[in-house]
Amino acid sequence: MKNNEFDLALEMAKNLDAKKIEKVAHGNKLSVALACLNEAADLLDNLKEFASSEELTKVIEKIAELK
Amino acid sequence: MFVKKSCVDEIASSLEENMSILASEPEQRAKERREKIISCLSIASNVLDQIGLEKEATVVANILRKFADKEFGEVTINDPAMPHSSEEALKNLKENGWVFSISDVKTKDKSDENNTQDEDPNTYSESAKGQSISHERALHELHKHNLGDVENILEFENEHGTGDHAAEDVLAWLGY
Repeated sequence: MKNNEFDLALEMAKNLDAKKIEKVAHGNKLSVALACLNEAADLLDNLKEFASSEELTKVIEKIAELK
Repeated sequence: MFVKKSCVDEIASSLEENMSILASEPEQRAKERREKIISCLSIASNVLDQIGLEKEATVVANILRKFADKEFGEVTINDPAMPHSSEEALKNLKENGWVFSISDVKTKDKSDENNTQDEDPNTYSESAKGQSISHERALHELHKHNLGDVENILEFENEHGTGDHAAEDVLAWLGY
């Protein structure tokens, strides 16, 4: 790594905000959960499991509000 | 030198092959969908639990349990030693020092005196010998044993693949 690249990395590291990182990680996990739930709901619909799919949709709506 | 095959036979056998592939496709697709649903719900439930959304995680876990029970029914290995749920296994562990539902004090009759424990046909793993279970069912068992998170599923799939499994292997992986 060149010196100026190292300095830049160091500067960026100093500015890292743990809370911000945690928030992003939390948001990412929420996205993963939402993606999984959406996929499961679609597949349940395909298998005509409408009751379970509806239940999942309610959970999805609730989680989407938190994002 | 060459045996000439009737082209009618060839066409018929090719048609038969194609028809059997077509017939099994919807079943295969439905099986893949069911596996995917279990996998997605399991991951979502664990992620929600990790980020503190316990209520939502429980709802998703209940949907998963309902779906899996509907698809596979209850565990059917006929062994009185087998706990019916992870809760029962934990209770047994607390009370008896092991997860099985029977006491480990063996009541031997005289004719059994020469038998070793491994030869007892009523042991848990013995009852699973020769039985084969689908990958979906194996995932369901992992979930029932609280091992349904992504890491465990991937570890299980790395070791045993995603096809059918010997029930013995699954039990061994679950620690029985």
